[in-house]
Amino acid sequence: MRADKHPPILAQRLLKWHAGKADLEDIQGDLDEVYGLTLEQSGKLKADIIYWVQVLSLLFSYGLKKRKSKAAYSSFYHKNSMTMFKNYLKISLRNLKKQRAFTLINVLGLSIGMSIALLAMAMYVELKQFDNYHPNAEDVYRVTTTVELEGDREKYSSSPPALTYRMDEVIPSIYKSVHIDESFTALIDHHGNNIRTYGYHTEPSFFDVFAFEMESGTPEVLNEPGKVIITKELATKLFGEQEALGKTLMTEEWGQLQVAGVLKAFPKRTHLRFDIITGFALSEKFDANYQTSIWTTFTHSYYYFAIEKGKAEEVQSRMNDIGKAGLIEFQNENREATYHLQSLLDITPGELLNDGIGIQFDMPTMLVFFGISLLILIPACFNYANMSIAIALKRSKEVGIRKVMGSHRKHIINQFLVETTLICLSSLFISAFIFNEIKTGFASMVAGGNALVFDISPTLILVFIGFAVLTGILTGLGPAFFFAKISPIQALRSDASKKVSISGIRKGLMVFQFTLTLGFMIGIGVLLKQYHESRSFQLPFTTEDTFIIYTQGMETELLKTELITDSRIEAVSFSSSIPGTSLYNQVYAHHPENQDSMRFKQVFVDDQFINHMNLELLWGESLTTGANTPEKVVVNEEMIRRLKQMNFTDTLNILLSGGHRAHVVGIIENYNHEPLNESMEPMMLRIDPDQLTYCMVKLPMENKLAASKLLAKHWDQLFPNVPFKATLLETEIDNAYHFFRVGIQIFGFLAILAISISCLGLLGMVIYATENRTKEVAIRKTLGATKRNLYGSLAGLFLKLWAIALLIAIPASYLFYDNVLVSIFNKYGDGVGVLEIFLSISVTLLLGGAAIYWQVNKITRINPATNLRND
Amino acid sequence: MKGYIGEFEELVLLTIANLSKDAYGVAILNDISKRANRKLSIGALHSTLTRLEEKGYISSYLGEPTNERGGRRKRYFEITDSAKAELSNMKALRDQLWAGSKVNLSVK
Repeated sequence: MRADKHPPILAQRLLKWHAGKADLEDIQGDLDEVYGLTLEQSGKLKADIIYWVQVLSLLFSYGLKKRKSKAAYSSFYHKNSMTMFKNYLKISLRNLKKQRAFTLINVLGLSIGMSIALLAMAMYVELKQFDNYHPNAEDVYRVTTTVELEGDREKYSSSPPALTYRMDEVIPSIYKSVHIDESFTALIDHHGNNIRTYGYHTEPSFFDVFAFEMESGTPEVLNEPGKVIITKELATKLFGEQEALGKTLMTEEWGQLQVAGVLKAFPKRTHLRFDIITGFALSEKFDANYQTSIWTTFTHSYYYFAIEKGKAEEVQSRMNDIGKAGLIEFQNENREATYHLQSLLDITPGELLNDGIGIQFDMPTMLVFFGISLLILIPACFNYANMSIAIALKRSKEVGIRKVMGSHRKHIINQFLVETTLICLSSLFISAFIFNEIKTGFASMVAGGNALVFDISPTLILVFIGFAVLTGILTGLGPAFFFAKISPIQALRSDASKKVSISGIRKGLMVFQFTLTLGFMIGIGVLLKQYHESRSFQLPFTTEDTFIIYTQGMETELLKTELITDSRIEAVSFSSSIPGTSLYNQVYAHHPENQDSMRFKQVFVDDQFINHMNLELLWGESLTTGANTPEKVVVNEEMIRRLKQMNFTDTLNILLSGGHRAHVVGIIENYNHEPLNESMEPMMLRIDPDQLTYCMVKLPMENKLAASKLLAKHWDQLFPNVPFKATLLETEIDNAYHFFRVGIQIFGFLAILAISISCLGLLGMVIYATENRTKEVAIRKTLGATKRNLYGSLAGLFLKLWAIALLIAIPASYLFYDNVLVSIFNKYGDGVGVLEIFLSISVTLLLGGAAIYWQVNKITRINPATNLRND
Repeated sequence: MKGYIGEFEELVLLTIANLSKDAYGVAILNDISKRANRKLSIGALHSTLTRLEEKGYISSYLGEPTNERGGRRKRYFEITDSAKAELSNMKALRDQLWAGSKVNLSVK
């Protein structure tokens, strides 16, 4: 065959492409030989044509087909997958053992990362099981109400009694139902200590719809006034081992109540929360009028019912029909109401509803929680991928040899997936341990967390293991595909190491982590600063030397006259809410002409309050006692501003809900009656001696204990039978910032997790980077490099990445914290300052610097001869 | 009977036997086309060879790399014992039929 006469290249390519992985060597040889022969005998054209014909014949040849199928399904891959798996496992274990530091860092990082995710999943699994133990739980529904006011849509889990009582009568598919009113609370006097209990007004069918069982007594006692049923927990708290049935409870609101039943202990996984239940007969509020005509003021009123299977749609449409009767009532208030069925099993975790019965766990919050746990977990996974690609140098030879021995791409991928899964499973042990440690702390921080027991159930264990395997596979995919791509020739060449440096992706990942760490660090700094700022905020009213006495429903006038006789007491005033703490009392001001209304907050005070608290009166006069019609009130500036905004023509004469009129006699400067996380709301100060619950006493004495005793003496003279209860105003305000401390705790905990993960990641990368350069360092040292030179060249890369991270993190976190976080916790601060950012960054740099210094120091101290001896 | 041997298959088997140590793709191809005067493609030949290999009548091995084929190795074929048995069975059957044939089969 002459050198310049080639068989047609296109035909050759076609054959190769068609054959794929099949072995063609002998066939190609045959083709070439035939080509050579024809070329000599009949020239190029004929030879080319014959070559083409031969190739085309091969395309349809059974021989080639067979070879192809043999190559595609190599028998060693199919058979004995168990043996192969054992092999993967063995090699994985050896590798993990060989790279101890790497394994340790990854296991720790992943277990920290997974712990929060475990918590989130355990919580979700638990919430999913809420209320599933009630009889026919899948057939039980409740009615939720959506109220629209000028395009504003609010969903309530409660529903109008006028609707629900009609539903009982009219809809035959409802075979059992219960009405619940959540407003029942009782302050029980227990040997001089007051125990606040919460519960429901309800009816005997409560026990048909829900799976609660009576230990003693019968459900029918709910029909009798003055009788209550209490939970086992409350019974034990009140009476210990004694029989609770038949005992009398002294309550502040209801006088004597008789315990006519005790509930058996029941699983806590229910959205209902109560200590005590009683009938509707107890309160006059629930008369026949309540059942037939209450439409718009339906808060605290719930309706649960069971329907026959498959009738949900019918019940829904009939309910809509009944709802039309109340339409006019809502229209009078310019509102519109629609009703929906919500399955008992969808309540937790469910949509976010107003006026929840007990405490609700809603899905949006759950999703945020999942998001946060991913934010912690993903960096840990990145770390793993990052480090395992970084140590590719050590593994690429192994991969090369495997490939030369006939290993398939799939085998390499499987190998790495098994390894990662193994690491994740061992991390699971540690993170399950962490989970176990933090779960009670977590439950105590979450509102209603005492319902979460976090029992380790088989389902939960399966979910955990499944999660660990999934994390393993997802984490391992990156490195697995990376290694599967390595070409064996390159891997086995001795200079392969040059190929594997810290590549762009990995640099990006590191920058991402640094940024996250910096972000969290700055967040901690910002929160602490804001906490400090809001605690040292100069409140406009007097806080020092002020005691709060709980009036406990006693005669306030009596208390006042008693206290002002004492010359040491400088001032005495009363109010319905402690200044500096949250204010819940809200009312509406109605526009006299159109249907507009404005919500504002109100505080009941006495005539001394404004004076005593040093509130600045901008206009008009202070409040005076005595009945006035219309009532004289003082409002804050914000109130006037809002009223003007809403085009109230006469801002000094306000029409309150219920037709009550208020005449504004004074305007005070805005002051922070509530903690600083609340924005300035319109507020009204009103006089009503019956609503006063707290007595503020200014008593400047060095010894607070003596001062408190003095007040107690005065109290005991007046009300010897009621225990004296008082705190300091400063303590009360401090308690009002509990939410802030919880916020710091949660954020701090998350930040610590995220920071430790990225520190571990950094450590891993530093170890890798320095170990790879031991020889370089040794040569530099022998050539006379100083320690400083070495530090510079080794740490240089990390410092560069940090500089980039700083450039991203500072503006991003500044924007985020300044706009979002700070306003959640403190609406009156100066925002994020330079100092806390600087401090946070310094701490982060210090941590990272320590990791770098440690490793760099280790390698520079080694005698260069040790490192170079083998070359 | 272990497997049916077709006319062409028999031809290929006998050619391999004929070529003995030299039976690789092109050699078989050339031998058949010369003796039997048949146009034959490599694809068709390899189909048959593969089928025969499946039936266990031939086995193959790769030879040493040679220069004239650009370093590509040749795949040599050789017939197995079961092929030998089968071929002699067929021959015996044919001989029997020839011998017993009542009509004179010789070409005049």
